[in-house]
Amino acid sequence: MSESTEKKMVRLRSSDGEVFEVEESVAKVAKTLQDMLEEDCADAVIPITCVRAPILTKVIDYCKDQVMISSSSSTTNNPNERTEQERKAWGQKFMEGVDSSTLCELLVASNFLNIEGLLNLGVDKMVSMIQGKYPQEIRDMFNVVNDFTPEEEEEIRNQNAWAFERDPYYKKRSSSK
Amino acid sequence: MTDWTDLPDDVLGSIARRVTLITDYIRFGAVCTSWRSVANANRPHLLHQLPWLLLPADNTVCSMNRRVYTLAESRLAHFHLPVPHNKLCVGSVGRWLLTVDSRLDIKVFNPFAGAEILLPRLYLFSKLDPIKLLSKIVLSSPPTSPEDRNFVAAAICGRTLAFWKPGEETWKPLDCQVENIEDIIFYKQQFYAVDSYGKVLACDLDSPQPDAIEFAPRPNPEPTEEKRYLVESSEGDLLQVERRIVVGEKTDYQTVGFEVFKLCTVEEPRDHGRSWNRVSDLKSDILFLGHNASFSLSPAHFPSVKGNCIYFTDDYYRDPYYYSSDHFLGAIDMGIFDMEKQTLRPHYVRKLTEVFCVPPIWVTPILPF
Repeated sequence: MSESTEKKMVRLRSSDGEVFEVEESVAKVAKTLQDMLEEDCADAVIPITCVRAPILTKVIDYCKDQVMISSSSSTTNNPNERTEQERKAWGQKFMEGVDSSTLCELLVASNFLNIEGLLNLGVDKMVSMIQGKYPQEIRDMFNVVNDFTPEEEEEIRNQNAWAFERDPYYKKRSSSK
Repeated sequence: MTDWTDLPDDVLGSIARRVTLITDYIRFGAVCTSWRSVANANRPHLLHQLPWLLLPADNTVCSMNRRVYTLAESRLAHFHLPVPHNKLCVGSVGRWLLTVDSRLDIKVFNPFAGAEILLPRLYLFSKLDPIKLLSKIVLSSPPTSPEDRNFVAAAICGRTLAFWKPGEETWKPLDCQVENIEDIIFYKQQFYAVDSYGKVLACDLDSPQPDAIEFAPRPNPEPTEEKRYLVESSEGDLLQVERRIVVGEKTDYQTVGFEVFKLCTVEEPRDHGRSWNRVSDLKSDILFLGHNASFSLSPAHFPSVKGNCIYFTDDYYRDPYYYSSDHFLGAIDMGIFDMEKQTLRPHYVRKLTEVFCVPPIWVTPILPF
């Protein structure tokens, strides 16, 4: 451990200008920040240009939790240690209520900051959200624009017609558009 | 504000790789062009799919679609597969079904793409109804495309076998007398058949008329007539599976258990230097039996499924008229046999009113690569 008992703090600035002060150990959960800090830019405020304040808050919550559960993991009786099942349940709870636009921002943020665990939680959430859905439902949910030409779309559907057999959301787009 | 088009391709790729159900995957790739290219670039994980159980249609009259029970989700799928009601499935390998209809047209049919390969008609028996005798067709390898004719087909027709080779216009029956054949497998570049007492024959297709010679003895010195299967284990061993069926007084019958034997070589010259060892565990393999080409899967790719089990469907009675008789529920003898606990449990749970006028069959959803 380091020589000082005082915890080293790091400042992060979100894309919308809010500054967050967190312990260095919390920031270092993000591999991208860990690399930056090891290159020694301690005093500066680190700009997180692609992450808005509400998302950064959520990211920091995640990192704090990771520090909490790993802080005493070397000791035999860590009250914070989780079983596989508890970890899963915690992850589900953490992602509970996250809507599709927040999810997208969380994925972008965890990818940029290189936080593998959070990225995995986001990916799992996304997979569970698209399960059993038809393309138009997925587009509506995630606000994705259908950029296939009508011909392309017909071809994709005909390749595996059975998978779209009961799609109530599919309307043939007029080619005159 | 972030939107989904900002998502880097590698993140989309991780999402695509986590979508393991083939239906979800196809729909994921139909959302927009960028998701489609990501889907197309991240498919290898879909090579390993659990089979689906193709069930009869809801209303058995004149339906062009059959219901699907997916093992991966343990439930009825909300889509159907286009397999016409008047086609009897007498085999399956991967995503291909072997079908026969009342005109004796035999087709290798891909219900996922709607493609089919027509094989010659089976005119072997002038007096007997071939549909009643034809219990299974196995291919040396699944076709790679609807144009592919580079495979040999073997048909089990009661006490004989018939083979079709590429370029030939007819099926050729075996030149010798054999007992009732229960199953046939293409194993290490050769067809092997097992009779109802457990004797295994090696098929010779090189002579002008196909022949079969004894390859391995019966597994029991006092053999009984049983339903039997030949399966290649995931380690490449040849397994013989004996299925115990108890036949009731009327038309009912029920599977009560299985025995599995592994082919071994012995020093002795008798019995061609081969014998069968009873095995009590399948080294965590899962076997799939029924009208399909018998196969095994290693559960390594399917953590949600318990290994060391036999998944079976009904292939005992084959007469389609029999299936639809009034007091008979049809081909409902199916389930999962746990080799370790020696217990049976159901996979698809049939509704009480449901009549299976055609036997269910395993078929595996594999995307063409």
